[in-house]
Amino acid sequence: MDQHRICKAVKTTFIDITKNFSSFKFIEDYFLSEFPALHRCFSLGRSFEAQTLVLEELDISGTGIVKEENDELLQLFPDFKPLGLLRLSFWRSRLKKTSDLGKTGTGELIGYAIIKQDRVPSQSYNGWHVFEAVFLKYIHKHNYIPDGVEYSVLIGAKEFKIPGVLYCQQNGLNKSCAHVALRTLLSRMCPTQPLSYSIMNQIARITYSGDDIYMPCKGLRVNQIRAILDHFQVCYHDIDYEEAASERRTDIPYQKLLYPGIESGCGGLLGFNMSGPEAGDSLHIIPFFGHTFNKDTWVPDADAAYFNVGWGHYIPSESWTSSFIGHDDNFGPNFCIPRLYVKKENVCYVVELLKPKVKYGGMIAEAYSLQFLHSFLSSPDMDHSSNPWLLRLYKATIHEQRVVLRTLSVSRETYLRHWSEVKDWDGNRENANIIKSLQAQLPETLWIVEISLPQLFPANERKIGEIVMDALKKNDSSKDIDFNLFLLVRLPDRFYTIRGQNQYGPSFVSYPSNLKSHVPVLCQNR
Amino acid sequence: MSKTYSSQKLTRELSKQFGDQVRPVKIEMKYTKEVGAFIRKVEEAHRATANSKLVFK
Repeated sequence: MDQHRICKAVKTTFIDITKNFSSFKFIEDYFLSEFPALHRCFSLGRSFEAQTLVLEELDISGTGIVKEENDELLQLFPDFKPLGLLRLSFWRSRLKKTSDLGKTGTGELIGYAIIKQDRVPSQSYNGWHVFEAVFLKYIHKHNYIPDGVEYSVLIGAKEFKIPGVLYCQQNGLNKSCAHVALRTLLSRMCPTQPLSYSIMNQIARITYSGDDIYMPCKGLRVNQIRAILDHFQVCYHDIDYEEAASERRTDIPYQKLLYPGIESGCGGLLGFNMSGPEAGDSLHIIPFFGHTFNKDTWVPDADAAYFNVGWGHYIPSESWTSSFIGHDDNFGPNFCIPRLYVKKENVCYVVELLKPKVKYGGMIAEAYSLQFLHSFLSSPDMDHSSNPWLLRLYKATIHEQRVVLRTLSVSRETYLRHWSEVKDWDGNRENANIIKSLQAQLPETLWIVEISLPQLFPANERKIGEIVMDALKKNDSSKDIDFNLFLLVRLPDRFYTIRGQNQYGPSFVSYPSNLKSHVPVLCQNR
Repeated sequence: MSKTYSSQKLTRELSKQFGDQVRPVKIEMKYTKEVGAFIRKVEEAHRATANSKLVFK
């Protein structure tokens, strides 16, 4: 599936893009038109102080999925003609000739972009677009993109690897904003699968319910987006706010679906109306896959900071997220979009992507966890005075309703590795035998809802405990609480599981834990 | 009818490890109706999405 990235160039040019180089002039002269997405690529190169642009001309007939696209375009538009195919790569070091690439390490590559020029006279189309691009993310510890993927790309005669999130631009011919947004996220979820637009369009054609013939330029409907995700066996949880009760925009804000999808390394999609006088009726959808974290965000003692699950308030950890990181297919890759910039009244559709076989979303895990926490901490059998952190948690949760919850799904191995490695503030590690004995008992994928306090979570990125749930079982909503999803609660000093059932419901038991105070939060690969 | 919860498998295994250090804890489940109602709202919104007419271009 990498064929289109590893094809050899027909001609290679090395361009010094330091001091006197103007990317504006280069784009204007070479491409003869506005090209915001490519400008963005140059800006990203500049931000890493790129010194060299390697411009490779490729065979315009294309290989791999580029050729598939050209074949599809020809079927859709018999007067289609490919006119250009380039591979641009940006380098930290000064390179002058192809043999320099042979001596250059993969860490020198900042990013690449494959760009196409296509012409379809019947559609009055003659232009360039970014077929795909991958750029490094900013090196900042609060710029968080979990579970990265590496892409192989041939530059010159050498194959390089670059970590990042695939960016793709729509062309209004065989792919719309929805197609390219899906390709971005699917390339992370299904890195070994061929992700061509022709496959997406085959699926979309089968599920098209309009009276006319399906044309990709018309975009994708929600049922088609769902069908494509189903085809690639990607689990998801989505909401169309136009179909839901009107108060759902407030009860279930879109950030509550996006955020756990991002934290779990899967990402999410956000569909919204464009605002402004020229927006018209068009709906746009973009992929999100990361967030920035600002530990100094003012999270006031006001209702605006709380989230309410119908009875209890808590502070969701996304309160300290300043922006979501995503691509906008019209403007380029790796944008930080302020968390509240897209107003809820403009959002019409949100998709939380889930890890394989996960049966419910993060919001449900979080709601259950708040209820479990309240119930546990209110129990007369909980001796809060026995541990100062338990007492602080009790006050924050029950009296002040200022507990912080952070929700993410992880593999069993990731969670147990985390639990075995963390040390509390006094340097204690958990009993290794506990970890060993749970290995065979826990399901493959878990929802972890981490518990913290407002003064502990943002500045220190530490937590007091967590609630662990089975992510692979379907929630039985015929019951108020499906206890079959509950696995364990870990709090300072002790952790808890279900022993059995009595006439009131489940009965619990506790065990001693070596972790007596706070520990670092769980971070997936950045 | 007695129900076996997933967590009980953990309990059986951990009880072998901890023996007499295992302590029963009485927990009264609070706000069950409220959280059940909230979760049903979330699931209903997801089900209603099957009727979506949105198109993204």
